[in-house]
Amino acid sequence: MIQIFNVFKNYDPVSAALTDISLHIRKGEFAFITGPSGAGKTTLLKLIYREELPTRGQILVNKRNIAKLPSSKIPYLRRSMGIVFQDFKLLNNKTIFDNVSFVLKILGVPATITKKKVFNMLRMVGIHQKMKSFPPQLSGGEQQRVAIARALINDPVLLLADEPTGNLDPELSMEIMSLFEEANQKGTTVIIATHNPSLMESIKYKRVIVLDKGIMVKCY
Amino acid sequence: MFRTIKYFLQEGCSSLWHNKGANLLSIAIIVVSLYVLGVFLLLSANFSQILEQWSENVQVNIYLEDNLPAPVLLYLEERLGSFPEIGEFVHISKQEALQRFQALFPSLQTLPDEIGENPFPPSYELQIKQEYQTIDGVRRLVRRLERLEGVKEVSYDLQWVERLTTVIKVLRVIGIFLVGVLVFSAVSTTANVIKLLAYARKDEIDIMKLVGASSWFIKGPFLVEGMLQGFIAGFISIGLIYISYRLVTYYLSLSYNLLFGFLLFTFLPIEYWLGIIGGGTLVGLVGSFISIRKFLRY
Repeated sequence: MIQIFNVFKNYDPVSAALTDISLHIRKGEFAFITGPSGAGKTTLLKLIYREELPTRGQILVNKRNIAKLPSSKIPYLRRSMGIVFQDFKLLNNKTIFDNVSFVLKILGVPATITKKKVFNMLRMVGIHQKMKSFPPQLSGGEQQRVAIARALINDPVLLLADEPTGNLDPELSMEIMSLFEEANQKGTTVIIATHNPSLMESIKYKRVIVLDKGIMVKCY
Repeated sequence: MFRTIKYFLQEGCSSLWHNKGANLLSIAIIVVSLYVLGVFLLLSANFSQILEQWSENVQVNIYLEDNLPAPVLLYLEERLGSFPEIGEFVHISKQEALQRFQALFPSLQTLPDEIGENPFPPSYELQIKQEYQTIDGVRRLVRRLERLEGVKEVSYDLQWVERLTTVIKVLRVIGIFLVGVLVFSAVSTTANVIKLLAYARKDEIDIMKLVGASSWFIKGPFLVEGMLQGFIAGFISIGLIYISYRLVTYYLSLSYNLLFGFLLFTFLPIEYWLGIIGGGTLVGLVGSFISIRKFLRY
């Protein structure tokens, strides 16, 4: 699914964000990228969804070399993945329904199919009763459910999450993790960047990639 | 495709409404430039029409020496008939010229008696064929006519046409320059307004990029917004030009000024309306395209 070969990333010439990372994440795996703050977890995720380009090295996502991907093809890469952030990144001026349906609108899915699909997805994450509300009217846990619904609405092959429970209390965190696990059981490859060890304990079968100061120190 | 265009229109209209203040500024600047453009077009169109009408009725008069013998007159008529530029021509005798004068100015009927003789020379009135009704063509003809035997003076009424042609040329140069400057400022204002709106929605744009929206899908509503600004400005400016036209024609008619009274007798034709609205839309499109192009690079 994802193959990373000797990847280096420097934001400036002096300090390296990532140094010589090589790893292979298979289809259907549940992987955690962990390590202390500043270890390079977010950078690694950004490289995978092509928000950043590697300074050196190659990254293959679904056999496509994304370091050589032209800008015009980036949207197509991102449509094959779902991304969840710590700060949810929802459109505050749009309803919950519109936030989720927006992804299908981009793809030109007919309104009737969109309506049905979005309702089912919001029901799956347990937020369908608030689909006419706006994000600021929801709690943190509810907003993250919406973000997950948006990430999964397009049946992505890959789900990336950057500290998805960073703003949530432990109980809500476990609920969110169970949504990720559910998606993984349906075949989606899940990669979560977190510095929270208790989050990893909630998942039985997993890969763990430990980063420290941009270097991969452990992978099991 | 239809769904996407509908989405662009919905989002563009919604943003135009929600950001009324900034958009009004942009619209006002485009209105100013289109208004100036329209005024110049209006003046130019009217002057051109006057020019056309005047040119169509170009008449050349040949004033002859008194008491020319019949063979000379015959020869003259033969020569006039050989000029390709001349259509019909009419001989006006001294007596006919006097009668015309007396008919036109009845109060001066006794003038010839007072000065003791008929002061009007015999003449020929020449009609110039349509294809030769150009300033240069008429001038060339006049030079040749002046050399004919028995011709005292040749007059033609193209002086006004010449002056008006110069006025139109100057008007066009000033208009092009002024409109150029104003269009530039309108484009840059639209560009900056759209850029500000895009910055205000930066988070939204980033999210759209993350969920896989193509660059065009994100740009679309901004481009529609810019185009709508120009489109609305086009309509407003046509309205303002029309109001100005009506006011000017009203006040000119009040002044009873024969010279200016007929200068503004026609409003802009529909093609110009469409041109102004289209031009405004284009200004809005270019402005928003310039600002959003760099902003949305992946």
